[in-house]
Amino acid sequence: MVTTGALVKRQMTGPHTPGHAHTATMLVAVFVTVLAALGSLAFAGWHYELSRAAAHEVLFVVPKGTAVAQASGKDSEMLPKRLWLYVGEYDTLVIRNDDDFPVRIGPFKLEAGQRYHQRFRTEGVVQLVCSTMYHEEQIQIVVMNGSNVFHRLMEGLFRS
Amino acid sequence: MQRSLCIALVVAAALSLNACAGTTLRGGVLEPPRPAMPVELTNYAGQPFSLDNERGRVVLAFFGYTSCPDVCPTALAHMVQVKRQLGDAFQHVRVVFITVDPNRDTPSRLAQYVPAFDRSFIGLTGSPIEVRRVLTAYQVKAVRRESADASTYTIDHTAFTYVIDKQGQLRELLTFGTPVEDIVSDVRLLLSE
Repeated sequence: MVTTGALVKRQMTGPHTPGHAHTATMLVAVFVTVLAALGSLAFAGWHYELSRAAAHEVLFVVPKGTAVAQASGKDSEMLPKRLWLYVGEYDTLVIRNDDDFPVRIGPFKLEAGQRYHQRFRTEGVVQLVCSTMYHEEQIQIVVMNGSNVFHRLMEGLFRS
Repeated sequence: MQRSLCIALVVAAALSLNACAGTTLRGGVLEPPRPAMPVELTNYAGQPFSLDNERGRVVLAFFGYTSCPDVCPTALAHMVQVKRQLGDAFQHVRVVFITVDPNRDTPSRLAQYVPAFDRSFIGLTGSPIEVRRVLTAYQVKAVRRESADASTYTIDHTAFTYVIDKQGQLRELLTFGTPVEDIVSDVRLLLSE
């Protein structure tokens, strides 16, 4: 019985010497560490991207009372006439409706309390009509390539 | 050592998952989402169509007309590529082409036009009043332009694709020319919810 037990033990441990086991464990540990590092890197990238996007949010708020003010004939501009934004990851246009009434912006209706956000992925000019029940205004969004120095200069000059 | 390995693995997995969770919709997103406006029209087979019956699918709705010279065929061709890239996942997606020209786009005309792009795409029409109701609800502009000799006309129209999620909520608008990979990414994201 003892012999068999010893034999079994030897057979089990025979091919895996302490040195081999240690190397295998080390390899797994290195692999896991690399995996964790890559995960951390991806997480950091994602987090950076989010914070960067937040930092470049071009936010416009339709304040409470806008529709009522417009109904009573007050001149209440919701958005600037022209807006300069960069393509892709750089700028995010955000329009938030804090009013109690819906606002129509181009092809959609922004309900009370709703928010719209958009990153533009191609250069160009977008025309939008924004309106409440009593007021309508035109907005021109100029989407530029952020790497163009001339565009950056224009943006610095004209951005609201 | 074994325990530390397990902890490291769990941490690595959690970090990787966290990184994946950063995926966001790439179009013009409406938050919080609200129910999409009703669409009650007739499909090209002459059968009634209701958007409500599409719950459980992601719907890509595009407004156009069969005589459209450029934008509409391009948009539908993009949808064909979207379908190709989505593969099997497309079975949970519906592409809907809603006419802005009900006078000319009868069910039979739509039946010749829409399936030429893909047989699974649905073409919708209705009476001018029914179509107008849907266009108004979705803020779609459609302006008729007569040709020089007034023998025919074109229609200037809104060229957004409206993306409706599986719960029937209007989630985002895609501008014309949105890259196919962006549409595919967004559809996959909505299908995974």
